[in-house]
Amino acid sequence: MNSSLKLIHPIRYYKEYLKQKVRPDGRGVSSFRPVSLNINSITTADGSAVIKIGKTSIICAIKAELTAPKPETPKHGLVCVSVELPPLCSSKFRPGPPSDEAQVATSFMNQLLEESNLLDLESLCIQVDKLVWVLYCDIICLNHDGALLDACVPVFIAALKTLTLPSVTYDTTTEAISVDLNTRHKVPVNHSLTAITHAVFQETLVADPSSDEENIVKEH
Amino acid sequence: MCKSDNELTTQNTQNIVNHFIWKSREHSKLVKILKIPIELNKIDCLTRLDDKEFRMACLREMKSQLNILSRSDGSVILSHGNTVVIASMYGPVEAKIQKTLIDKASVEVVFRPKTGLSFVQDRLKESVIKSTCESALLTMIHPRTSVILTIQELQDEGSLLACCINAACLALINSGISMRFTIAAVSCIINVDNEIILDANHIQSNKCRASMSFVFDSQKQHLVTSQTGGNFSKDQYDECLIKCREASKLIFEYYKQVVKKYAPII
Repeated sequence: MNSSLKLIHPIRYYKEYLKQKVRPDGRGVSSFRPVSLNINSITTADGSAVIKIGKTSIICAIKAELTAPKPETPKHGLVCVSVELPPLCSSKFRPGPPSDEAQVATSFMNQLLEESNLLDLESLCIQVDKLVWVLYCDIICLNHDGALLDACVPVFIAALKTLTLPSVTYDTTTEAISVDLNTRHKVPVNHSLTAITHAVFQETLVADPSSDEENIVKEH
Repeated sequence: MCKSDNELTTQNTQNIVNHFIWKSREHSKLVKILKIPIELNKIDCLTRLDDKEFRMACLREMKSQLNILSRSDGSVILSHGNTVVIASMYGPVEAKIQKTLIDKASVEVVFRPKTGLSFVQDRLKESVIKSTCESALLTMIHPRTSVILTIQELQDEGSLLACCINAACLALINSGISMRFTIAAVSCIINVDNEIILDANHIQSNKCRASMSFVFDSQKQHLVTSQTGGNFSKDQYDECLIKCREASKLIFEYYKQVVKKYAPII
């Protein structure tokens, strides 16, 4: 089918394909794109992973730092997740402050972390009320071709599972911190999570939508 | 998140458009003559639904007052128990160039928390409210314009999102903008003993396993939005959905009472 129809009548163009039970990229209605995952991609980070779902590619890196805990939760470590959608990943995004989509994804990831009991935050504690780990998890989208959250969740879990923290000893009397970079230990991850996106295009359920598909459907 | 949206055929749309253009003209005339702003100090004349019915459905009492702000096109103060928000609506107004959509009106939702600046977490709330209102509004009849909804949190004692969506809907009703259907949001939680509590207050929500908010349309009680958190089984989800759908009928009944009361002055 010619590409001008796609530009002028994207909905009709898509409908013609769906009539034949196939999508413009050759997939069936309920088939997913191939997923590939690479772990420990960034050697300077404490934990990292890269995921590709079709053309969507996302990188996640975790950096650990030492900090004092919040007074209201003296035993809990801190985890900050941020999702970045830089202008390089899609023409939808402009340089400047984070877009709404990035902020929505960020708060989704933070909420997920909070409500799913994924990490035992007490395992990030070194000394109660004095010293805990803070994990900065940066999820950066390199190529945005739909199903952003489907990619963010597994890449984040994968990075967490590769995360190793150096062992730290805290001297309570002198308050001295000594870090042994050579002996590293893993952080227990309670369970794995997956996210699956479906789009609804005029009563048809379409699995794993690409960004072209996300633009024309109103429901997901 | 799941939005449902009824696609209208072009022919149908045109008919509806004509009908609503006529209706909105008539309406704006009416508004000019009859819109009497009610001052904040007269807040005691609140519309409320019978407490008994609400208690039976395990919903907290709802109170509201329309036209709470004199400058906006539609405004409301709404409380679900002790959760209180003010919603105001301007529109359709001229859109910013960046936000102009050529085939429909853009909906902008601003959520203002009780204290401080709005935070990244509030963006999620805004996007849920925005997508919900988009499916309720007939955005295609006001192309290249924008509808601006501002929701100010006054007090949060649980089920804030549901309260925000209901307030947004009442503000839209108050403004007289054309809608496909009205929307009602009901939230519920599943507590540690696997009991389902509708419209939970903050004490109950502090020790919950999962929380859910559902939005239904007024025509067929179809699901418009579902927002969930925590872990639960599919059966529990279905049970919550059925209970919330039943409760949403009460909220639609409440809207009717509010509109009936304000019909002479809206």
